[in-house]
Amino acid sequence: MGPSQETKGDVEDGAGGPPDGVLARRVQEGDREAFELLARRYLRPVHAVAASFLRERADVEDAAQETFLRALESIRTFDARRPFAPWLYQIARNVARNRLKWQSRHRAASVTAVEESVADQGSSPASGVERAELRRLLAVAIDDLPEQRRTAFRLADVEGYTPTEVARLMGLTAGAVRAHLYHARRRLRARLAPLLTENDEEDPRKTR
Amino acid sequence: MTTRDDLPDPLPRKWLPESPVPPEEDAEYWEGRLRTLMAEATPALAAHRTVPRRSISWLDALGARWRMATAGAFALAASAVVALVLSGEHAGAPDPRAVVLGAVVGEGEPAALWEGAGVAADPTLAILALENAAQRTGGER
Repeated sequence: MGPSQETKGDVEDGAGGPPDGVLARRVQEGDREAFELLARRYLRPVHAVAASFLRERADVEDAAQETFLRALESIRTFDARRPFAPWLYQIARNVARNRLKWQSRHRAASVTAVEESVADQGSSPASGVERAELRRLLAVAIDDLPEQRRTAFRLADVEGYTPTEVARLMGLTAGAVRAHLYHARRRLRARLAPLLTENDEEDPRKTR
Repeated sequence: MTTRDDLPDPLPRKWLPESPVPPEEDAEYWEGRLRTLMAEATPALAAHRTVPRRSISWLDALGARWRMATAGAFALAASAVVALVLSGEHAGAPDPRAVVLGAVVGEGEPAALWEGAGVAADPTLAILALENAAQRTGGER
């Protein structure tokens, strides 16, 4: 499942390997090769899901690793007639969310605190905020999105997956993913609007 | 509702946070991640190979219970049949003579002996039995 591939249903990778359900059934019997194929297929998407909750690469890697090992532990509870990707996504989401809860006590400033610090500088936000600060503020604003919306936004707009790919991974319809993207983009623009100059917004990417 | 047409433009890339996830093209990184994962997964995979797969179908579970219940019911029925047969043996068959006499007295004529439960249905014997019964009845009087 690459960022540029369009995939449908319970499918195979770009090279056209066996469907997920077939591989999952083989993994249930302890087939190492089947597990490796599934892991290769979903390694980056699982990292991307973890990255929608966690910021540090080491945390993302640990969460992704734990996700696959937990999936392997409970693979016999998986009904191979159902789509594999959303099942794996739920495990990744739970693992990452638990890690985030553990880290939440040490979390950095909230959006409000950042905005207050900008106001304290005595200049208009538009002129006072450096690009790095803008990006930091946007990262915090993204974190404040509702979970499913944030995940859809990060997978599509940060990680580069198509809405169809995001839908397949999250077990949603493509329309639902587009709705999440619609609201996320609008909300983030609204949050950042007071901090932007006309020159800040340039070269927007094409809508997918 | 939103449609493909009214989806707002993505935010400029330069605004967005850097992803901690390397791009797909970084093959060396992803191969390394895969090797690490496979090493960690080896014990669990071995366990799946050695432990036979448990049936998780509710239908199978129900079938197993049904097999047990059916076997129990058959055992109970067989016990009941054996008990009935044994009690029948102890009760014994009715005395043929009692049947003959009962039939003669009840029906009042020897032909009724033919209807008796498999007694030696000989008309001569029946007449003798009738006479014998009459004598005994008369004697008692």
